[in-house]
Amino acid sequence: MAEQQAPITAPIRRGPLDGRAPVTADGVSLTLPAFAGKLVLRGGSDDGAFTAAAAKVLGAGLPLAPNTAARGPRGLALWLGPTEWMVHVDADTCDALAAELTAAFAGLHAAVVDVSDYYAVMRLGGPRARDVLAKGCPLDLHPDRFDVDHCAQTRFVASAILLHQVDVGPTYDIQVRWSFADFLWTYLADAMREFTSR
Amino acid sequence: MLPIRCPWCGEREQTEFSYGGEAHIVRPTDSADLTDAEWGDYVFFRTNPRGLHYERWFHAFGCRRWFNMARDTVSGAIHGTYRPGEPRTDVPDAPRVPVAGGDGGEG
Amino acid sequence: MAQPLRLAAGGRVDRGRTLRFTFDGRTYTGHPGDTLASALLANGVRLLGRSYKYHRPRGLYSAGAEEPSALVTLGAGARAEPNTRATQVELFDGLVARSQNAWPALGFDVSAVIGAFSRFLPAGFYYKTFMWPKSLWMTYEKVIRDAAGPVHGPRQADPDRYEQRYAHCDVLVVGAGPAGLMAALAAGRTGARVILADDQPEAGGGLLTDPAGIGGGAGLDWVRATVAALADMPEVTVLPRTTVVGYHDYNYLGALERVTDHLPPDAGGNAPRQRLWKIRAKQVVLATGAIERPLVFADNDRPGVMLAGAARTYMNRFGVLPGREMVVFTNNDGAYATALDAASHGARVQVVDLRPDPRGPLPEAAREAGIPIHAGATVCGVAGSKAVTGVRVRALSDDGKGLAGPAKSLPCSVLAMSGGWTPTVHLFSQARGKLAFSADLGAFVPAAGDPLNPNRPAGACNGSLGLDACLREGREAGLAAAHDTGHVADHPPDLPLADSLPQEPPRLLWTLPAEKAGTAGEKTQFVDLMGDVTVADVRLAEREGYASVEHLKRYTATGMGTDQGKTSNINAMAIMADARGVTIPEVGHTTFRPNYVPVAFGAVAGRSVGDLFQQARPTAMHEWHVAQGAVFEDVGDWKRPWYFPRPGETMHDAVQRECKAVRTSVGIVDASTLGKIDIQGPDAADLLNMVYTNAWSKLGIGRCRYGVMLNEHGMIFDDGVTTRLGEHHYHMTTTTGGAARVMSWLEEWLQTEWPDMRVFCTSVTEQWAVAALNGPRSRELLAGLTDIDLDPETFPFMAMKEGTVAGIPARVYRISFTGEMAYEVNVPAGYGLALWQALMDRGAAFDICPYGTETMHVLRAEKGFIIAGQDTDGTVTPHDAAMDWIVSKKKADFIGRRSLFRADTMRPGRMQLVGLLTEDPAVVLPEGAQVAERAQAGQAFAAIGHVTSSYMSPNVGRSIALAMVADGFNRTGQTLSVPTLDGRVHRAVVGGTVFFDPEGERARG
Repeated sequence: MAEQQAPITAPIRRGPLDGRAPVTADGVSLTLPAFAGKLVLRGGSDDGAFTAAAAKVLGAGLPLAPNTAARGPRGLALWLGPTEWMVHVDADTCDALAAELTAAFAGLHAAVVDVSDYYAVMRLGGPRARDVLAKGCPLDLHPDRFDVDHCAQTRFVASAILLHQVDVGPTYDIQVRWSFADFLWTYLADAMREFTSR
Repeated sequence: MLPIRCPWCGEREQTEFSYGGEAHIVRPTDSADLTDAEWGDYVFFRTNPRGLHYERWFHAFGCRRWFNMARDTVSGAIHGTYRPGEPRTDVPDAPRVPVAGGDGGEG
Repeated sequence: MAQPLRLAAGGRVDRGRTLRFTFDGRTYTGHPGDTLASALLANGVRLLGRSYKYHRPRGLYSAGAEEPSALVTLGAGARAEPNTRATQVELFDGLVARSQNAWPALGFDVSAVIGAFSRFLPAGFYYKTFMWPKSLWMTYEKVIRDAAGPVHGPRQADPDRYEQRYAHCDVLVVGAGPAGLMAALAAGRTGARVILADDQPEAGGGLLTDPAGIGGGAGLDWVRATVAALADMPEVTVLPRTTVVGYHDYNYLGALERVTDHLPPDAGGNAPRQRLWKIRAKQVVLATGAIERPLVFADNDRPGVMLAGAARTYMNRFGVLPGREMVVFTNNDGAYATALDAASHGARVQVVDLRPDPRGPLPEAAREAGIPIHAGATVCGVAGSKAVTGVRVRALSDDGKGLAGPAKSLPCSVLAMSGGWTPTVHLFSQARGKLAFSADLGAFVPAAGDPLNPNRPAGACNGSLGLDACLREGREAGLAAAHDTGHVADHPPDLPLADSLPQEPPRLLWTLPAEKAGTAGEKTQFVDLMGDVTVADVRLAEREGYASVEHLKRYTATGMGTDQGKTSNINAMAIMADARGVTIPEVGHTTFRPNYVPVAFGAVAGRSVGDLFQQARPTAMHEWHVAQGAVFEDVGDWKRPWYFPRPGETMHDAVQRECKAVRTSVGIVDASTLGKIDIQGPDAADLLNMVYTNAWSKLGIGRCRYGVMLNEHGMIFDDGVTTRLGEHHYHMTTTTGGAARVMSWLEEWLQTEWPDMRVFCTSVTEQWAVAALNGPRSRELLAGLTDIDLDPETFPFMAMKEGTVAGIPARVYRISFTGEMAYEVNVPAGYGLALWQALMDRGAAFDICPYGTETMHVLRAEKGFIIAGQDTDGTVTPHDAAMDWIVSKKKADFIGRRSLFRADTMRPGRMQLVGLLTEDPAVVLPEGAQVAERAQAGQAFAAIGHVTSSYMSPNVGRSIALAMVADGFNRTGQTLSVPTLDGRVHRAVVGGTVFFDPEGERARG
């Protein structure tokens, strides 16, 4: 049909928190990590063919223990449920990885779903990050209970979040749906106000 | 707020869950052969016991899995949770008395 | 004269600094460490307010949370907080407080005349006096409330900041008195995670009042050392100024921390005013102490009558002598400590003891100190109304029920009384603990806890009043609680020795004989000061049959004030027991309920106020909509453009223009908010066949189909278009509002009913931003931006193709909610704005018109497309909605199918969806308006239905409406009446639901 008229510049991909300046307070900061590709993998924890296929492509096994994350050469896999994982990958390699996984899952009862744009991730870090999270998250985040590379789908006040502890700082990555990102960011920044002097 | 043990995620606060009504009600596969009364029994009627109740919960803010719970509707005590398809949590001593009439509360 | 009753030395106040505050406009001074109550007392201010019912003068009664009398309004303007207990307010510089229930002035209260007419206001007076006629109740209520005094909350928004936070611990210790400190120390030594909460600014509890020694040193030195030891334990959190207010199931406790209440407004920096803690504790140690009981005698509410322990607290903790002439009136040994301390500060003290021959160590010490003791006697009258000037004392008869001998008048400015101590069992009882009556104490004490809420009461709240017992029980409870969480101490703390004197038992006389016999005397004997409940009221309740403890409470209002009867309940129960001739345990006790002290609404709301009250969900194109001046509609939490007004346009103008534009050229709508679910698996089609009413097995790859979902009742609950993307791969859309519900619905059936079905459902709602082009020129517009072949032969209506649009990877669906040719362009949300801008840029040549939800609704109504949830309401079958065509006749089963064959769902005459055309084409019926067969203005009518959708349609050239009408399908051509709230009656003709392009050719073009 009609010839395609490509736009003059490449389309801009943006996220709901683009342009947000980091929020800092005494002992805690709220920042935006680099945009990551995000894939949901579906398959049975007890389906050996599926877990093996996933491990082969990812270069590391999926975390099968509930509430844990596993880092591999191609990305970070977070346990969401007994048949569901979130994989954070370098945005540039996301499409290729999705295709590889889809191919590897051929013939299996498994699925790969690109949700890169569905979710935004914000990063809350510092010695007081736990105190900030405790203002809206009902989880017990004491290091005896929730430590590095633990993850949980839970809530912060009204927002459904995927919480992942990145390091002992502690630093947490908080994944939230696009349309909830602004609200959550605003709420977290507000929760940090107690730890600011002005 | 009840602490609820999701059979997959472990103990979480009640605000992560939603309630799903009585458990172990099997959907009839021969519905066309059922009388209105029999079908109505499946659709509308629940045991509503005073005491032990097997009920469904959904981990809405967590792993998004449905599961079952044995809970005492009088004391609020949770006797256990288990995955769909698993046998009921055995609660030998729990009373399970259908409610007869209203139970007066206090204002 | 500055603070005439302030002692020269002693106490926990910092006399080196002076704080200024005002009470009823007068300026006074106090010191850091004071409460408002202690500072007022130091200044000799006795009259602090009026009671709410009789407007009797009232003063300070206690020194703690139990205060029933000294209620003030704190602060001014937006920060004014009524009914604040002066005993719990830490003094700060600039504090402003006002008395309550006094008009026009505290010292001269016109309404106090009410007190003289108290015979009109007995228990239950609300019910009796104002029951009839009912229509006047509103008037009565206003009069009563006005007379009750100007105690109003501010109308302005609360400027203060309140926060909440969750906390988790192994052991929560409530109360930092000797028992609680010992428990926290013992539990902390085990390494357990411990939270110690106490409502005072500093730890110590009763040791702040009682200078007893511990471990050979001063008790407060032990407190200091213990607090320091706790501070060194990383897993121990000490929360001062924190009242545990509620004990809920599974050891979930609420605690209110007054973070900056002790500071002047705005001096707290960015810290909140208060913080509500939500604590989940594995184990709880309750060390909540005990509350002293008043004695019930004539005029026992006069300013200057206070609890003996409180009087001692004011001396020893706050360095204030409650009065230079004190009468201590007691039934027990403990109050003698107050007498001794007052005497040591130079007060002239006498003791009136109900017991005929008190011989415990404390009474003996009082005798040695030369304090006169009137044993076997009672106070039977109080002189002075706005301040006590003296008391009348007479000997008691042997049985304690009568008076004997002549009256003696003892001059005094303060009467310090003690009826014994009531363990503070509120939290234990909230935790479902069973109480037992202790005849020794004359109070209910913890008997058996409930396994749902593992806790251990320790010390005074357990009925163990001695300091040694408090320390011992605290240590045991702390160790045991920690042990039950898996923590054992290598070096548990030693049990320190404590000073504890033996005490003789109290003489429990629940009411004391009055000089005036019968009701006349009983009406001056106050049981509940906050509720103005007297002995006469309790006895009246019994006579009128309100004898059960719960009836007593509601009929007399005993214990229903904001103090919840902390000082009054046990006396009321005992008097009721006496009236009924039964024992106190037979009367029982009322249920203890959260919260232990009042909690401000601000703390309950936390930060979820203002902009943080509810999230607003924007789409990827939101900025553009805002920049273009869109007016937004809230759809669930979503912000959707409602319409895009041009300068000078009304909503009507804008919507009419948008509606025309779509059908003449091309319009664009942000459809991103529709729910989207990725469905994959070999059994995906089987799932669709079960959740939709129509057949899905033969849908080709790349083809779309509309479907309706029923619940098992057979009623429509959602609809949408699902597209087959691959062999076992589908993309489902749902309504905006139904997105979460449908996702959960699919998961529910798959997980609970059909676990063998091999299907994965994954929400992708916000992965995709959706720009829907609608209108005859939509193809032309899109063609210039895409590599997808748009030839209608290969890309027909109800098909989907993948490609790029404006260089963005896209899925384009040829589906239409307007009946026009339409292309719904889906791109990853990150490109949503870029896509939208590209379509708008390109669309300029086509006069592209952005439109909102209102135009979308008009256009779909022109086509008779339903909106699930607007035209349907959970009682509508597909047949009712004139959608028989969507129900497969061949499928043996789908959710809701069997219900479509129930007698009721097949009943003729059901409410059915029809079109309505008003006789006057300019009239747009209000949605929700009732429909009648024939109605006359101003007359009653029988409704046979209601209008569900109604618009002015520029494309039809008149108003159109959809309505649910009983037996609607058989009414085609009938003229019905639609009465509206403005009193008019419109007439409208029943017809079909499709008003525009009934053949549907435009969408297929």
